[in-house]
Parts: sequence; structure tokens; C-alpha cells
Amino acid sequence: MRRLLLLAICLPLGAQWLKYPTPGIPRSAEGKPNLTAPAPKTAEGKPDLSGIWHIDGLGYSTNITSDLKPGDMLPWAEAVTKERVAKLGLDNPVSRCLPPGPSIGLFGELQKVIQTRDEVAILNESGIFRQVFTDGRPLPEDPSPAWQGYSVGHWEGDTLVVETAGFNDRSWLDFGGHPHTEALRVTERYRRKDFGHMRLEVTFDDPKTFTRAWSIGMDVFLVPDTELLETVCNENEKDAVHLVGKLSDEVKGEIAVPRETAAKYVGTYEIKQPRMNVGISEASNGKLMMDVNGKGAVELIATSQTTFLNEAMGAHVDFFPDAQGKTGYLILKIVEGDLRGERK
Amino acid sequence: MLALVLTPLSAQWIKIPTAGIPRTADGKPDLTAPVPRTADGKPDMSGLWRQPNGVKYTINLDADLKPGDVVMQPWAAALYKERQDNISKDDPVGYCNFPGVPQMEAVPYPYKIIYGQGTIDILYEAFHTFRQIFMDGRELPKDPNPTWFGYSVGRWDGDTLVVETAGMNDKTWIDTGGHPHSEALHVTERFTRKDFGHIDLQIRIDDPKAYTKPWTVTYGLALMPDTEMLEYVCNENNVDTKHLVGK
Repeated sequence: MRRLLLLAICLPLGAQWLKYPTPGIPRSAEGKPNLTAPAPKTAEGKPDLSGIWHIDGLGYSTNITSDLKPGDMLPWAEAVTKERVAKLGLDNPVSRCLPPGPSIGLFGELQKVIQTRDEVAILNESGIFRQVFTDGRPLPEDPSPAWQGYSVGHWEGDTLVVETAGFNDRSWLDFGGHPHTEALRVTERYRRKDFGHMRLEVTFDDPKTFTRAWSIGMDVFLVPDTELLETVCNENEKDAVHLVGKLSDEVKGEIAVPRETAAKYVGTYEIKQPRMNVGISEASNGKLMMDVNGKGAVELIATSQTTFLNEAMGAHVDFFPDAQGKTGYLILKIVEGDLRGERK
Repeated sequence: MLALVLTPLSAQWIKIPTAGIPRTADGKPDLTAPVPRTADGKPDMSGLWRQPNGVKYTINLDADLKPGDVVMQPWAAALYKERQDNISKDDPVGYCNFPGVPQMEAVPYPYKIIYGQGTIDILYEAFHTFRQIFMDGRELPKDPNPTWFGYSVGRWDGDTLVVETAGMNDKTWIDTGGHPHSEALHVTERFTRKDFGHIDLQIRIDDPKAYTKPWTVTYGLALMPDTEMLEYVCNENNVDTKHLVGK
């Protein structure tokens, strides 16, 4: 396994205040959070987005451009992505504890929203924060490029519209290595539908990387009665010394798996914690493809008759079909541990 | 240690009027105006603050105390001497780890206090990180998993915000000079906003495993009007490590 990657699905070993009732949540008679209660409002009458949220974007973590068509990305960006994949994500800044950049929070880490009169602050479980200024200031002109850029927000009806510019060009949009330039502008649109649910649409507009602006949409869930844990990347960073591989070595070592064997693995597997659906399908060339929550399908590289490498994830997947090949389970081996997915 | 005194080369929103600050006729912030209050009548400490005495307390939290005020247990005294003799070469901050509580409030970088729902939160420019102080009446966790920032709960004592912090790991140093502590450290911070522009911060260090008696330090914080925090990324350009060679 070659890289940190699933920052997004780190499994905490122990914790405090992880089961502590969040104040201010409407509850049923037996004390359960009522997540379909109306969305709360601030004293000024705006929707109040405060709370701990989980953005269901993990499926985009390996390929945030998976909804794009061929040709939507400029040739230089295709080439850079290819090179990063060939190097197995060796130079991914997050593997060196640098900030995630524009995709912060999208791939599943918890984040707490704190809304004040003049700003919306977002505390990310990975330990860094964002400030979205809602005091009417414009985006800075010609800003000093920053990993997280500069964010301002305004309300369009009940939707909080956050515009961010001034990114540096060093961050990757996803673990698959999709690049961007300093020209990138990101627009996030948050709409709280009820107490427990938001819809988030994120638009990426970077004419130096893509031929058109494009958007992804995600559901966002309130996570009640828990708290953020402390994440300290620098404390226990063990990846860098392992970042040595090349995709070409893996491909050279690829094992031929008979089609009838591979066909037994095709299906959808449900991992409970963290919640994700792993889809295994067969490409026209007979190779197995893997996606998460229906997004970002990538070709798997067979390293044995039952073990495959998902390069973009830096993870191996082992299949355990039963004798009939009808049911079974898989084990997704990520740095933080083994995740078992039951076939649905 | 040098990570603490990086100087930003350029910036944005460095000169932007902060909303809600009382001003004199010529538009200047009136930093002696009365303390603002929240809807429930408590002092509102919201704003961008900094510790204005440079690295004085960062290097030596007990800079204002007399000999005898801070008495270390023998192991702590030996460790402190070793760190001083080594010119703090092993300071975890030099390796981009968090200074922890209470050093985060003593670094010469701005930090923003904001009021959340059931929390008061501090966003620190240094290390681009944050700390949550729970105001919803919960107790400090018993036997917590030790962390760099520990666990903080706050309450009001009149107009003073009293923050109790425990559950810290023993990897942080109390200051960059190397005052050590154990996991038994219990920090009590008392924030009193004196007027619009000033907070008095009193810090009590109680760690019977490292010190023979608790000790208390007080310093002031100054409001930073009409500016914003910069993005601070320690890992991006940490040129300290190779210079941290000691003696």
C-alpha cells in the first residue's frame, strides 16, 4: 500500500465526547434527534448552517472529474494526471501533511460549521479551518496564492453561495492527481433542506485546465451527538518513506485472471463504517473496474487471482466469493485498516 | 522555534475595516469603548487578538515571575536544563507540531475568538488550526485519550471566561524554552475583557508531577482591528530542522 490517501476515512482508535448530546437539536419524545425538523434560522432570519456535517463525496475522491466527458480537460492537464497516476501519486502534497486545497471536506471528513454575523467558519476534522467572510467584502484582487484561497459568501434566497479564488496551483483536486491552475474559481452552493440535510453543489471554473466550468452535487448529512477528533498529520506521518513505487512496476507484475473468475467478483458491496458502496464491474476489455458510491470508476490491476490493486486509492482489494460465486464479501485494505464490504 | 517568527511576504485583506468596531469621529477604532455583550448579556470576546509582547512569553512563560515561584520536580528540572543546554533543538514546534495549551495563546501571531453554538472557538493563524472550548456545561472527560490541545470546557465567573483544559499529551512544551509538563497538566485560563481593545489573560499551570506547586502568569491581549489572518503552512517551508543541532 503506497499512500495515505484515505485521510477521509481514518478510523479513530479512541476518543472522547464522541457520544455527547449536541445542544440545540430538536428531538423526539425518546430523545432521538429529529433530522427532518425544519432548518433553523439565525437572529437575522438567514438559514443557520451551524452543526457537524458529513459531505457524501467520497466517491469523487479518486476522480473528481468522473462526470466529465473526454476532451473537457485540456491536454496538459490530461498529461499531468497520467504522469501522477504513473508515479502512484508520489508527489501528492497531502501525503506530506500539506493542506488539501479546493476539495477540502468533500471526501468525507467531518466538519463543523460555525456561523456568526460576519463570517461562516468551517472547522475541518483534519485540523485546519476555513473562513468565509459574509460581511460584504469583495474577493481580493491579485491575491497572494494560498492553499485554501480566499472565500467570501452571500445569500441567494436560502442558499449560501461561497466563492473562492486565489488558490495556489500546488494542490491536487483528488487523489487521482487532477491538477488545477491559479486561475481556478470554486463556487459552493449550500442549501439546508431540513434540520439534518443539506444539498451542496460545487462548481469548478478553471479555463486554463478545463474547457468549461463543471459542477458536482453531493448530499450533506448532519452528524448529531458527537464531536471532532484531533488529527495531527505531522505527529505520525509514515507515508513519505513508502512513497517509492511506480505504476509501471505494478502493471508489469499484473496477473492474468480468467474472465469467468473475474465475473464472480462483479457486484455491489456495502461497507458499513465508513458508509460506502463499492461497485465492481467489468470493462469491455475484460478488466475489473471499481467505483465508490457510483463515482470515479478506475481499472483494477490484478496482483493475484483474488487480489487487485486500486492504484488511485493506493489500496488493495481482496475478493472472497462463495462456491457459487453468487454471494460473498470483499476486504478493502487501506492504510488505516481493513474494511469489509458485504455483497448486496 | 523559528517557525514561530516567520514573516509573511505579502498578504490580502491586511487592511480591511472590521465590521462592528466602534470608531471615533475620524474613523479610527475606539479601543477604549465599553466591552460588547452578547444577547444573553455575557461579555463578547469575539474578534482578532494577539499577544503584543513579541516572543517574551513564548520563550519563557514565567518571564515576569520571581525565583521560587516556579519550582520544578527533580526530573522536570533536569529535563528543562537539558533543553536549555541544547538550545531547544528538540522543540516539537520546530518540527511543525502544535505548541498546545497554553503556548498557543502566547505566540506572537493573531488568533480569532468566535462564539459558536455551545462553544467558544479560537482560530489560530499559527499552524492554521483551531481549538474548541465547550460552554454547554459538559464536564472534562475522565481518563481522556491524550491530545496536543487537550479538552477544554468553559464557564462564566461574573464577566470572566474561565477555561479549564486537561487531557494533554506530554509531548508539548509549555514554552519554547522547554518548561516541561506531564499528562497530569491542568491549565486554567481566565479571559477578562477590560474594554473594547484589551483582554487580560491569566494562566494557571497546575501539574503536581512536574511542579511542586501551581504557578500563575498574567499578560494582556490586544485587539487587532481592520485586518485578517494570513494562511500559515508550517510544512510548506520548514527550513528550521537542519539548523536544530543544539549546543
